[in-house]
Amino acid sequence: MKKRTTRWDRLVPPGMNGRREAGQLAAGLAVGLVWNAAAFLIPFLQEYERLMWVRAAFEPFDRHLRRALIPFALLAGWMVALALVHLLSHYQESRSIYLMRRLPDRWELWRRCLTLPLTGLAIVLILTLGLSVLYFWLYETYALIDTNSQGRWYWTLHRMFYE
Amino acid sequence: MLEIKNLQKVYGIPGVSAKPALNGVDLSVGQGELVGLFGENGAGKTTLLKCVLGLLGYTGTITLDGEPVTRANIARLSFATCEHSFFPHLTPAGHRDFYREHFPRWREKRFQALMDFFRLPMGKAPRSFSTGQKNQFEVILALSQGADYILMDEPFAGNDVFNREDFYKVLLGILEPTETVVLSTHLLEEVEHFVGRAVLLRGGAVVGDTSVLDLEERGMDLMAFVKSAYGYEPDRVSRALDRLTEEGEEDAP
Repeated sequence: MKKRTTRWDRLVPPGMNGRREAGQLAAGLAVGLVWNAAAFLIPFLQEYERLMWVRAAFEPFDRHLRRALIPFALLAGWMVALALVHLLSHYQESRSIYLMRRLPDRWELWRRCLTLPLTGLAIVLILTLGLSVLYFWLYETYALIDTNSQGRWYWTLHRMFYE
Repeated sequence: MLEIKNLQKVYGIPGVSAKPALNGVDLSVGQGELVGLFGENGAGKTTLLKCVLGLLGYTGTITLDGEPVTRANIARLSFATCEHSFFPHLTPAGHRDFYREHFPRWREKRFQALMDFFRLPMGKAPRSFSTGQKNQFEVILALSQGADYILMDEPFAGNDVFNREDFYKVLLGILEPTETVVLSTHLLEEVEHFVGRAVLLRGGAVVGDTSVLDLEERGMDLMAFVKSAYGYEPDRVSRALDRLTEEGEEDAP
């Protein structure tokens, strides 16, 4: 059956399935988001239940955040790998790189190789920053904080909001 | 006019592992010419074509009607290579759309006619084609791009003789007087009646450049021209065999 070309196909190397890649990216981001939220909120809520009664300090913020950022680090790695796969596809089974490099539109090669990976990376970056701020706010608001044990991430965000 | 002046290309790192591939090539190809580019393996044929297309860096000048080859005029050049430059997972119909989008002078009618002539399926990805079909498809794209200068690098490697002959006939039949073909190949005898001019490369330099008409007037065929330009010694094989036979006799108890 003849495959219908979609506008997503214009964002990946010719012959690749753009809609499927965009779908995989969206699914990856959704999984990453759920994993991230679970990795921060579950231990945080457990600590909240356990430590608030005894008035003990929570685990340092950086440790909480590092756990939560693992899925985003993996997603970022995936995006870098995807960009490489796109580029290397022009050397597989033929040398379509010759055609891509002699197109009148100099950006076509890069548009098709980098649009989805860079979009994915940008979303990952925005989510990382946004959620880090949200989690910092939760931590500042609800945790009992031992400032002596806090690390770099905590103080960076602290400076951002309080200095 | 495609003009190449003092073209030099060195592979590797200069001063460390430099390997010269082109040593000051000068060549002019006018519109409408059918040029055969000949030479042994490593003579610099592929390198020369890739430099013209800007796929490799070089020193020297390459101009197209006096202008350097840039993105502004690159569409006037097309390329068919035995390495293939199509997208293996994209159907011919997808290629047609892609080329139409990027090359404003895309020749729809020619593409369809050639696809029909070679009976290539429009809805099947070229990765599933036979080697011969892949070569045909590669050449069809180069011919349909709407370029003024069609560069071909061993485009028929792997095609059977009937197939190749069909292609030469089709080429001669469809090319317009303004279209130029530079064909790099080893198949001297086959293209002799197709090309109008023969350029011979050796060691990265042009060692012969003649029109086929001139050769005919001199009573020479292309093979004889190549052999003379290469300093081929006709008795080389017999001398080697004689020497081997003599050695064999000496070795005998």
